[in-house]
Amino acid sequence: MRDRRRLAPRAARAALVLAVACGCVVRVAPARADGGLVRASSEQAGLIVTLFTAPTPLRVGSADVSVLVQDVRTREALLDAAVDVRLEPAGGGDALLTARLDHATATNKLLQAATLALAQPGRFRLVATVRHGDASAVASAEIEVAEPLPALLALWPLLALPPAVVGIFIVHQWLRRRSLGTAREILAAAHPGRAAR
Amino acid sequence: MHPATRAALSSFGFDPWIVVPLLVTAAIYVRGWRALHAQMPERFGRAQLAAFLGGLAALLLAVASPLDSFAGLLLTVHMLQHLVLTMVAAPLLLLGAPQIPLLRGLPSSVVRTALGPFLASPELRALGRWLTWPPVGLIAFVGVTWLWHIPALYELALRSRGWHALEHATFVGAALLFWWPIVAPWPSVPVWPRWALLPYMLVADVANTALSALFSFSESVLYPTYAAAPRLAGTSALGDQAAAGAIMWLLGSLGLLVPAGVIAIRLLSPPLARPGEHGERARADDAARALAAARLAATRRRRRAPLDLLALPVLGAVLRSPRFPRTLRLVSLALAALIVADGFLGPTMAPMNLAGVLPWTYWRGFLVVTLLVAGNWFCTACPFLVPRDLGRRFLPARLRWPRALRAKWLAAALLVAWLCFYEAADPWDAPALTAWIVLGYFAAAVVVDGLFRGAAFCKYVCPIGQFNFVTATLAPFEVRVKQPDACAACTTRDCIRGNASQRGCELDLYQPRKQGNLDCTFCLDCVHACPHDNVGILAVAPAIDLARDPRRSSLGRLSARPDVATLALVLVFGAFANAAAMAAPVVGWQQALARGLGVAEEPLVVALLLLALVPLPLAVAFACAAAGRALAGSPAGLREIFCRFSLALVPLGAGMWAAHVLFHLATGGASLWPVAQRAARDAGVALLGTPAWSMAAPSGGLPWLLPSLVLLLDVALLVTLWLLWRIAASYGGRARREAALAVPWGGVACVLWAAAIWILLQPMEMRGTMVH
Repeated sequence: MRDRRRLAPRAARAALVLAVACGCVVRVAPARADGGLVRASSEQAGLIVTLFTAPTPLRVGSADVSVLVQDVRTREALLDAAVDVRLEPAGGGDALLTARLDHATATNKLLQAATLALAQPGRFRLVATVRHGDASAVASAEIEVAEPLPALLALWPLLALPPAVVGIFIVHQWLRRRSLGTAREILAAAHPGRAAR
Repeated sequence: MHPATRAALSSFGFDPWIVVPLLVTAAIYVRGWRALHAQMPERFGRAQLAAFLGGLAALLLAVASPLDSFAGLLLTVHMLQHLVLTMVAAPLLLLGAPQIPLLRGLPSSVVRTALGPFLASPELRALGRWLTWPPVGLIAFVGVTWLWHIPALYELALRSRGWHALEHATFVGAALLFWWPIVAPWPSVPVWPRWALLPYMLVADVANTALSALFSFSESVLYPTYAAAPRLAGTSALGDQAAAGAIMWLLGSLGLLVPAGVIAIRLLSPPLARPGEHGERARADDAARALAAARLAATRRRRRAPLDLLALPVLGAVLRSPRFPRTLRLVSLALAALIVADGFLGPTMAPMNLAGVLPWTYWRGFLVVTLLVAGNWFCTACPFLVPRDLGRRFLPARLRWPRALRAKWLAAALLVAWLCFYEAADPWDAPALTAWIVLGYFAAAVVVDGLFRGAAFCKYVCPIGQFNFVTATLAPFEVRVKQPDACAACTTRDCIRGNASQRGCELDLYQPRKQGNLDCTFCLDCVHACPHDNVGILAVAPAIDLARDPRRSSLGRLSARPDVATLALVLVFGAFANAAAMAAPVVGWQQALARGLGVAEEPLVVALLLLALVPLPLAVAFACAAAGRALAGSPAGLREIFCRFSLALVPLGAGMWAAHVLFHLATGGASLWPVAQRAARDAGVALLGTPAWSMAAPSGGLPWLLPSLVLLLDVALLVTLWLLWRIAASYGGRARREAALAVPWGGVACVLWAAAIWILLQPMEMRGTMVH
């Protein structure tokens, strides 16, 4: 019973730390849309629309698209604009992907963002359409989507982890045995009779 | 507050790769500080604690707050971020005198065994002395600052998260080296006289001033990113750059010159009078220290007792309650009944049927995770025990299980048969077949345990149980005695014999000699039977049980149990075979082979699987044992080496099983809801609404999944290699001999790991989802 009472505050502290850690881990920004590379910027109908993409270079897989909408006179960020983005072939044609951007997906809350799944490499046109009240503006850019990195290259830090740990372990064992050997030598020098026995 | 301002201030991004290490570091420091504060309150006061935690908070502020979110849009903000890292976080961390508290905060066994050789290494100590030599710190600080402000490198860091993280890490590292001689965190000894730090800091300030002047007085924008960035707060790109230079100049100089001024003032001031060593205050401090040390030693003695789940408040009471296992079994029985009912009566398309989704996507995933994290709780919750216990009221259960079958050969054979049946009959795609399998399992459990005494079905027959037993050897919890002395005095042996109110262990595990989780179903009969409350669910080092070879209750020495080793090998190689069978290239190769040989594909697949499950693992294991024995010149028998080292592959096998089932759980994890909606609607219950079948499609956009599974396999490989080393080391002798014993097995482990990575990178058959 006494042990349980002592365990209670420790268990509670551990649970609190774990809960805070899990909360921080779970609350991961799904798209790191704090900008990236500026792809296009346009001024239309009293609006400044800046289009960003990340990562650089764009590759087949997930890509973050963010848009910042500003008032042309005050340069103030307009948070209530409706922003849609579409991906279409560079030469024109039907949209391959469309997405509605929002602030929740963005890390930088002045921006609106979405994650697009780029399915194939090639040249494409990314078009952002913004509506704010009666005004609407468009910003577009041609983007090049590269082939995905070879899977082994993309995973290299994780693949390098076991050899790195094994290497550190080998050094650790070598150091340990060397210090044990040194300790034995010192003991033998200090007590030659015991060493002989 | 203006909405845009509020939005800007709420732009936090919590990256778990940053937050979790910082939290762990803080926890370790606080633990160590508390111990040291009790012993040396004047050295480790609240100021040190506040400084270190403040330093960590500054790190988090720099990389997770709006400073980071806006760093790509405004050079001013980016500069401020770097100043927080170098001028605030780094010195605060050092003011916390972190070396001793961090070491003290780690478990002593980790410090002693893992870090000890490094800390004692003369070469690493010399490297540490060199790094903390003031000229090195100054060159590092100035060099890193100037280097990263070269436009090409600055732009690289802005474009790439990896390079940006490296930039921040080198800033913090260089700043720590720079501030080290100035702060001189205890117990480091200053190598330069204090007055020499004045020119040291002045040189750094001159370098900082020169760099900031470049920004402030440049007539062109140095970084294209900021030239193209949208203008915020009414600034131009050039104005932003100039302001960044001004901030770097002003705050950087303040950060350097104020401490220089404090040092200068202290040098010029007369020393404060200190109390004599034999004064009353010193005697009181000594007494307080001695008392704190005694309390700490007492706390440490208490803390050596491992964590016991049964002793925890609330959870312990729940686990101890006899209603707990009964409730779990009833719930799983109900789920099994639903699986059987829907399997027979529901749609034949597996992704739409509870029998296609519940066991093959959910149950397998949660089973493996629970085994690895908590132990064999799925055997506790086994639904087959409910009809078994009912059946025992009518069936005699008088026969003893045949001696010839009291080994794991039958279990291993049944496991092989099950894995072959799985590939041949595809039960994951046949709800009715799944239902028959569940019913067959019930029947087998009732018949076997109805005829034979003890839990013969669990111990010798059940393939799921064998999988659970072997995988649970990696669990961090084990049912075991708390105080061996209490068992030595016990004459009634209730844990195995039982008593009037409680049966003993039906798997013949005598607690004082029980080692590990093999054959333990976590039924907790021993806990309830023990009259001394001497059995708990104790925390143990995961996997360590596989490195040892004590004489175990009911199992003997595992080094003399080739049946157990064979069972483990079947499970290990079965993991890879089962996962590979889903990979498109393997399927294609099998089809081509079948065409080439002119045989049907199914029998060929079964034959190949049989090869992979029986002769191949046995041949590989024997070859490794023979090669290792020959290379090492070991006197140990071939059977002993085969048995012991085979068990070291269990973590890798468990890692492959976990990666496989977690892949299905992650990609098909949303499918249960529409299937439950359909089942409820078919049963006339409209409560759950219309099935949203889009949820049953495989989730493709999970960029975190593959890296997580690769990391899991990395950990599995490292645990296997560590086990191989521990087992080899247990034979004594020189390092080369130990290595020679383990190297062939290590090679096999690396090949299996590479095969696992290859499997994960292949296009997969998406079993259990709407598309496969």
